Amino acid sequence: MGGAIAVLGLGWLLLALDLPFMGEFAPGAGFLPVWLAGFLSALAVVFVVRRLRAGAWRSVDPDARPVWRRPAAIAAGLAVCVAVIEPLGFGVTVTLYLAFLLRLIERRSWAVTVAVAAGTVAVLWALFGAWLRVPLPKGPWGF
Amino acid sequence: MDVLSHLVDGFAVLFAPKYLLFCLLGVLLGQIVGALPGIGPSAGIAVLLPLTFGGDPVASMIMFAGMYYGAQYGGTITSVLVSIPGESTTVMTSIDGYQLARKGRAGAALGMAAIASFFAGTVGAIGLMLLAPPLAQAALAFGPPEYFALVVMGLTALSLVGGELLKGLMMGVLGLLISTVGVDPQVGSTRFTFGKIWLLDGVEFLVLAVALFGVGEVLASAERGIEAPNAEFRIRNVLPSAVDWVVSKFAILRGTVIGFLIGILPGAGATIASFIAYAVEKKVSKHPERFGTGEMEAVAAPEAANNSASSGAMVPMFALGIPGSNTTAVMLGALIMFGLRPGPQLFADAPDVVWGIIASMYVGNLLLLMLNLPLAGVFAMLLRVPYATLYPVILALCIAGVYSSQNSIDDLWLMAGFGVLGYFMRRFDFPAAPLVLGLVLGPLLENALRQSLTLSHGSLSIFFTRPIPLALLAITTVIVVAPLVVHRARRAG
Repeated sequence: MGGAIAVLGLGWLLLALDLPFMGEFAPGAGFLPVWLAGFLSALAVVFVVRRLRAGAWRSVDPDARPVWRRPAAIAAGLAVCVAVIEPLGFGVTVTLYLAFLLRLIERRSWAVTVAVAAGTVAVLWALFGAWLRVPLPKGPWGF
Repeated sequence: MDVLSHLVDGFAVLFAPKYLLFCLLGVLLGQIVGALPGIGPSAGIAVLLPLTFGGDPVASMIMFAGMYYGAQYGGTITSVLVSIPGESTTVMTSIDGYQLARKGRAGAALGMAAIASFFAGTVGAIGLMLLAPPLAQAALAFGPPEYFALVVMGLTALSLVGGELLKGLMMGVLGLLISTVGVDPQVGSTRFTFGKIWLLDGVEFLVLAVALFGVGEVLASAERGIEAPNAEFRIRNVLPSAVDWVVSKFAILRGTVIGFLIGILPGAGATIASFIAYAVEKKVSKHPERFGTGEMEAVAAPEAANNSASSGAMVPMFALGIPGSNTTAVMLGALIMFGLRPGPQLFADAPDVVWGIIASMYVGNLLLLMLNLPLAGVFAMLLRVPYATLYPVILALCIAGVYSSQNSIDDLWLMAGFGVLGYFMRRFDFPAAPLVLGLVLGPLLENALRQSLTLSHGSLSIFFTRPIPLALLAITTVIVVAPLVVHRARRAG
């Protein structure tokens, strides 16, 4: 992660260098971003070097390896949910997303899946849509 | 007398039925998020932020404060009954609390924890009331160089929260960088927007907080696969015995003082306070060898410490605009979201908010004591809610909440992206609080820096020739250098 932050910092630094660094009387729009991006890159490089020196790259404990599948599935489902929430509507999309999480990822029973998914969406619709009057996205079915 | 008259005003605000209801709601929700594994007060507040967006700041902040100190009570229940701390602040409680439960004294341990928490929370509120206003008054003389140095010190200190300064600093600087996205506050030109109109307002605090503390936490917890534990102990006789009182009364007093003082220090917080209170109690005990086997004072001291630390952490948040913990960082962002400026001016600009919250802490702690003793068993039942059923509900609330703040799909994409970032941060132990605080304090820091350099015609000497910035930057240097010196000394020794 330190390497990714170093790359991010350097990329940000390149973008910031395009902004005016100093104005006529005062620092310009690029002054702080240049310093911050440079500082972030430097910190990240120090971090990576220290990790390498400590031999962190050698000591990968097989038991400590992350279980990527479940968080990846939840995040991918979230991305799909966001992508289709406008055309399909909040009600349908979030109900399907919750059903996907409860039934396929967590292997809950159908009764729990239907009750939690439908109940949650109904409560959120009442709370945000009806009470707070948020114009939640509506699909072709009106919810 | 001035403080007392303000407090009376605060109670006048609080005793409106609406605010009392929000106080009750806050402490109830706090107990729930404290008891539930996988969600803490910072995540709980972050997820509820959208519901309060555009609402009454007094009611919302009273509720958030109630959630903050209520969570300390809630975390105790899981610590004592199943030895799983609902909160990191109750880790020390779980050691002897669980042993007491095994001896059939779960009720007494929970009762003592509730009473110690009530005492410490009330004393902490008094400390907050007495200390924050004069500190804020002193800070009223701050100009741009002082503010710049203060923000630098606060961010650096909060970087210690995660334990590794370098990681915290990287997150703080990243937060500051993200705050530069959008329109330049001084000259009005755009920065890092890539031609996207929705980025002109920058990244909203609400989106980042919900993403990191809500979505990121869910993804990280789902990876670990939290199982619903079995609470095997029944809760009876919640009133501690006379012997318990005798052994615990001074432990409660010591824990209260230690907790409040440590809570004030930015970056220290309630977790460290409870660790130190436990260590001190073991040190002064005539039977330190019994610690870990079910000693009542070993429950009382850390419980008192974590509650008074919650009040202590609000001192720098209210008086200086610098939070002392994860949760106060989120609360600080909430204040800014409501259009208030945390810091010295807050006492003058929004006395109803500040004094309403302080008054609510007296009432909230009393409510918690009244709820905790008879309802500990009911809160323990929350342990049976499987996380696998709970987290989809949290995610749905995050989606609805973030969308509702600006009615924007782009915000949902940002939430998903930052949620994944939050997951990796949890996975690799990078703290979220400095990132959020960097975003929140970024505009203040940039304005202060640029105004300072304008005053000094571009010379950095302005930060070293005025006493307050010099002192604050010297403290910052100590915060950075001290861990390195200690580390080297340990290696050499």
